[in-house]
Amino acid sequence: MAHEQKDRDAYLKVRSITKNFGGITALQEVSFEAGYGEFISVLGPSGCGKTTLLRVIAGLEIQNAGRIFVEDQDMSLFPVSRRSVGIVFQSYALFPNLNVVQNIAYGLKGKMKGSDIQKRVSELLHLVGLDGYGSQFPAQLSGGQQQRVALARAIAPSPKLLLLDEPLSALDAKVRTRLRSEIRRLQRRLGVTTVMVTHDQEEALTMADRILVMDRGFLVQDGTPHDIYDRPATPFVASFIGSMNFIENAVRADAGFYRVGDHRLQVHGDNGASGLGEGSRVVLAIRPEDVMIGPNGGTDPNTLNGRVEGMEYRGPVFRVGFRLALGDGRDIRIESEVPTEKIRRLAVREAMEVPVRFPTDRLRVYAA
Amino acid sequence: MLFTPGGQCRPNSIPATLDTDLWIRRGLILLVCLWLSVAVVLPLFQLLSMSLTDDAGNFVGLANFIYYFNTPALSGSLGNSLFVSVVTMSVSVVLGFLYAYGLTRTAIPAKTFFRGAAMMPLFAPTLLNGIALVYLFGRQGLITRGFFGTLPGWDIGLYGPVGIIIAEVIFTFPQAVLILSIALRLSDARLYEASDSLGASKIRTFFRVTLPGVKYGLISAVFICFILAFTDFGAPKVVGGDYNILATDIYKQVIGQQNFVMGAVVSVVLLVPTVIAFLVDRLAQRRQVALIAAKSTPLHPTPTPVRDRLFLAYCLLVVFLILGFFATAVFASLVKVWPYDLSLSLTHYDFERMGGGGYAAFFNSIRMSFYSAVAGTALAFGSAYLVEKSRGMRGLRQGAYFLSMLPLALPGLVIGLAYIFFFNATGWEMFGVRIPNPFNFIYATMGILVLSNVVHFYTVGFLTATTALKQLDREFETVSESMAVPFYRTFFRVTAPVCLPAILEIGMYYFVNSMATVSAVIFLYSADIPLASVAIANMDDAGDIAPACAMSVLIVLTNIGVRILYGILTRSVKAKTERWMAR
Repeated sequence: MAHEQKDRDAYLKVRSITKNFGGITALQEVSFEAGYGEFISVLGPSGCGKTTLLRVIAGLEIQNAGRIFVEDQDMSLFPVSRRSVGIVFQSYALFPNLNVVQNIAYGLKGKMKGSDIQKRVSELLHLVGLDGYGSQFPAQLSGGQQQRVALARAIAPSPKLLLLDEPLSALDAKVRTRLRSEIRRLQRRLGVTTVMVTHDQEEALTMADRILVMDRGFLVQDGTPHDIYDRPATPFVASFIGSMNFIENAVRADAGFYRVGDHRLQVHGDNGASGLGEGSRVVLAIRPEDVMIGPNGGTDPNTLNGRVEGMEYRGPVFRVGFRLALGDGRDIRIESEVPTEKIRRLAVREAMEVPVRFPTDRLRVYAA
Repeated sequence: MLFTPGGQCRPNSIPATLDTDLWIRRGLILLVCLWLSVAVVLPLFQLLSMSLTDDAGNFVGLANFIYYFNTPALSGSLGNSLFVSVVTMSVSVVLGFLYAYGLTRTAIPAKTFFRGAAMMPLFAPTLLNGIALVYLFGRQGLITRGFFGTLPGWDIGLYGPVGIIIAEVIFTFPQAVLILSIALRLSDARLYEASDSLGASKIRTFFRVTLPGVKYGLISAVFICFILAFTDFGAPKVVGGDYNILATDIYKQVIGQQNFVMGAVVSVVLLVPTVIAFLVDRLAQRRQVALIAAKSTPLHPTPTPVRDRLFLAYCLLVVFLILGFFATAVFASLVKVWPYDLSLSLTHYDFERMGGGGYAAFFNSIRMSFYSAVAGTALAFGSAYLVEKSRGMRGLRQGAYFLSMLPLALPGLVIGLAYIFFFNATGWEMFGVRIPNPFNFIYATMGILVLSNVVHFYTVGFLTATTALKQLDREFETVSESMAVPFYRTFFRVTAPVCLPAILEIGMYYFVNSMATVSAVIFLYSADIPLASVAIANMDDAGDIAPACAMSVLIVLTNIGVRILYGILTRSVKAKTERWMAR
């Protein structure tokens, strides 16, 4: 019942999309939904199928199976021209022989009166902050400005969906950061439902309302940026977004406790693995910034003795590697992110012995 | 593709046929395949089947070929043709390599001038190469007679292989220079720095870095020069004498003896080595493309006095020879009675008393070249656009691409002869049913002349267009589609304007070659549409060599004029393009 309810609210519905190219499966039963005005980011390494997903939504590729609905209308077999999508490509694909105004007005010709087109274009120029640039040619603009022209051109015909294909990857780092928030603000203001494909996790985390993480054609996690980072559904998601320490060969002892070598590690609420039985093999995971180091005694649970093995200075923080003996002859390496201030206070040095603690609520459990 | 089978979901609310854009494109690509089939494949098929029949039209298998190879008077030409083409190719590639090396790897001055001067022979009909040679080395030639008796004479025995080879070297030299300069320019400077830093000698570097780097360019130059020399008709017609080669044999069989079957047989004998050479060249070019794909640092030659002076001397000599060669032709066309009365006059430019058609022929040629340029450019660019910029439809697009490559492998004479057979046929018997020839109406009209030129020079235009289109953003079409703008509007508003330089280049190429060509049209012109290049051949046949020379000069001047016009147009287009780029 709850599912039905959600259906009615969803603006864009993607249902079990499968797409093959020859013998290669690019998309495997991918399903997701987006509410009106939501900003969805599709994130994954190259070759994971994210661009194919965008092209299927746009109608540039036709899926082998599955359906796509917008406003409850089945668009599954519509040609691109009838889907009412605005697309911004990585290259922007601005027409080099047309000036900014002509580029933005390109999709409006014949669909509006001339005077209305003029009004709409100057409105859009203002919206993207390019007043006065109307008669310039694309090559005369900076990368960031070209980006905004491409965006204005895409939204000019008031599309139902805005599709962004790696829209910022051609820009240098500074401009990229600024444009992130600019695009986000613009998107909120227009309230246009947006799907953005990116391989840049930071871009996805900062811009999107929701992130879809893809791997080898599968949608592996669908959640808010906070969900994705804090509770990654699989080891793949965990290592793809941010970095993660994995402690292999752990075995579930009893509810909330896991054996690793001679140690017993406590995990608050069995984070992520409530269904596992006793004796199951698992992998424990913890993010480097969650790994705590001494000196507050060895009394807290989950405290092991570590030996500093490699320190990397990164300005506000140090990346410190620890070697932890597990007591059964094995040892593991754990990366930790420690504030520079703390390193200074504790006078941490190479080869120093330091107690290392894994907070019980920060450990995650994955079935091995 | 909308109709890929499989998949449990075929929503029926919206029929896929609503994608009219896609269907128009599909239809157009199909048309491209269709017209190339009619203009290339079917005539070729007709020619091939002709070679397998007897005079009465009965199928005789390979009997004609067995006869051909058992008749030394006929088959000797194959050896002759191979001999002159291989010698031409070797000389041309060596000379062209040195020249291209001078242009790209040394610090000689006036490179633009040298590049332009080397291209001169491209504007002339190869008949002119022969005629100019006659004026230099013929019985009354400038050099044979020692500059009208002022110096001791030197008779090189022009008529025969010597004359053909010299004429073909002049003809193929610009092509060798073009291909090899491109290959030499693409080399990576870092390889040379590495070689230098490892202490390799100049000679070692040349053999270990330079030559391997231009390997594919060299292969390509070798085979292109071979094909050009092997299939040329104009020069051997004038200076071949009694030395029989395939191209002149075809002409003699068809025009002289009206033996169409043997003409077809010789055409096939000419076609086979050409197609093989063409395939090798294609393969080499594909490798070359793979070679450029990697990023490289361009090489800037540093001045090296001794080397530069040597190359400058060499390039000057070559330019002197080329210009002297054409100057001789111009001079000869203006002389009253060579070599007895050297006073200048325009009598030879008055073609009224001559056969061949005179100025009517000249203006027909201009008209034909203009039509060929317009139609050819539109077809070549349009087809390249459809093949390059459509999504899906892979089979159709590959088919269209393959058909578009085909004409490059076809010698003009083969096209001409195939067209006679195909378009002159009134119909075909097939399974007892008589199919009338729907294309017969074009026979003996301006239309067939234009069509033969469009096909003859189609591939180069198609490739030029493809290269230009590949440089455009792949997503122009997608963006337009997403905004529901029909593809043809984007084509006319964005694609074509941005590709204008390439379009002009294709047009110029078509015009210049249509003006100069004789091989295809010599079989196809009709008495009421005489052509300039054919007139040259006919006047030369009749011994009116001075007017033939004058007509050739007119063609060269026209082509140079068109080339200048092209330069002006290109410059104004560039000025506009730069406006798009100006900051």
